[in-house]
Amino acid sequence: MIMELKTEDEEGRQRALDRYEVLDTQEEKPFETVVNLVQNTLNVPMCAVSLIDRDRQWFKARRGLGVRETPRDISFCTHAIKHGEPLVVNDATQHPTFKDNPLVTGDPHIRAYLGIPLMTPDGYNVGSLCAIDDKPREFPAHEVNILASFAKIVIDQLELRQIAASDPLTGCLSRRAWVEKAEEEIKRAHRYDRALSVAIMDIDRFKNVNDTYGHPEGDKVIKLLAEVAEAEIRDQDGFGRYGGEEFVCLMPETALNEAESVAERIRHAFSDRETETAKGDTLSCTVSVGVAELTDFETLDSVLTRADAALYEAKNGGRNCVVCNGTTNADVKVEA
Amino acid sequence: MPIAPEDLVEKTIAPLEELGIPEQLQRSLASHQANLVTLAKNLLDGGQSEDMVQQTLDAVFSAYRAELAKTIMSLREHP
Repeated sequence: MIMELKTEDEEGRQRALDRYEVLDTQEEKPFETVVNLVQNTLNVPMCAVSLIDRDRQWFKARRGLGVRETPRDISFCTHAIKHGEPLVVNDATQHPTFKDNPLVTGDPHIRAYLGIPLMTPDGYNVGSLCAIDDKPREFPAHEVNILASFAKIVIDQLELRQIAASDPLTGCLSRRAWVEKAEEEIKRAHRYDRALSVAIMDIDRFKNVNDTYGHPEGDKVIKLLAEVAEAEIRDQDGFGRYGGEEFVCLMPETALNEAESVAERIRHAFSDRETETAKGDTLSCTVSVGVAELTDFETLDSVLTRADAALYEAKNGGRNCVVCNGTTNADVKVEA
Repeated sequence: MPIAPEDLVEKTIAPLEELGIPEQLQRSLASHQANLVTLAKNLLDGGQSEDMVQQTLDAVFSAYRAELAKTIMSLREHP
């Protein structure tokens, strides 16, 4: 199916890029392989998988480029993504749009550029795969076609990453993706001495739902909690399915008391909602939550264990409540 | 007689059957296979030898395969 290109919908484009959860991630072999192959096949000194974020271009993989990102407004790739066509610049010093560009007049002294938009299956150009030379050159049609083929391979990899990162039932982060994100955010929190909290939540008496109404109805309840939680958290937070009816929420830049408020909002919102069974009955469930804030030098395992201990306490304390595991022994329980 | 791009790709991805591809990944694999065929065709049209094209396909697919295997494991652990 040929998808219509959506070049005017910048908000949708940014959402499509954000869905990939790829910005500021580590190097990954599939993308490194592509830039290696492009460099060798097209015989260029520079090439990159460039992703266009709100105000920057960020390189998921790069060869011959010293920086990991540049301002968006000077990037060639931001021009490449405006159209559905390859952007070909044979000599940037002669090009009316690019001759005064700092990437042309200064390092890395771009002279020739070939960029193929990276178009998602739903029609958004999230970046480009580009081949760059510091000498003027032409890119014959077969080279354009080869780069276009590699661009599709890049999208294949981004899509596959997304499947791995998404829980198929709820669409929220998979356990693997959540752990990866949490590890990254914890490193960042320690490096910059920032607050970070995690919450673990578990749907109360969920086994009864499955036993009484069957698994399809249980799935509806699980999906409802994910939907409610996603609506209550911020873009930078990470909500993931940890397994079964257990979910985890990562809250960067969030101290314990703020995290507790978020957890309370989720708990209230979930208990206020109902699902309708195939037989027309309505089902209402509650959730118990354990919250913990990261301490100095603490690992993900450790902070999760403390949040889990708080969840255990919430379950033992009557369910449908939020319990915080403080950094001291003075835990705080918030009654329903 | 020159080899068809489809045959080159078939040779590359043949060992994949042992992984047992779950339904939610079948579409991804089909898309990747089609894109590999286009890549092979464009590399052959660009004058690359069959050996070179095969090497490129192997490199691209090896990276995809590793990611696919990780994804399958993850889906099996947490269906």
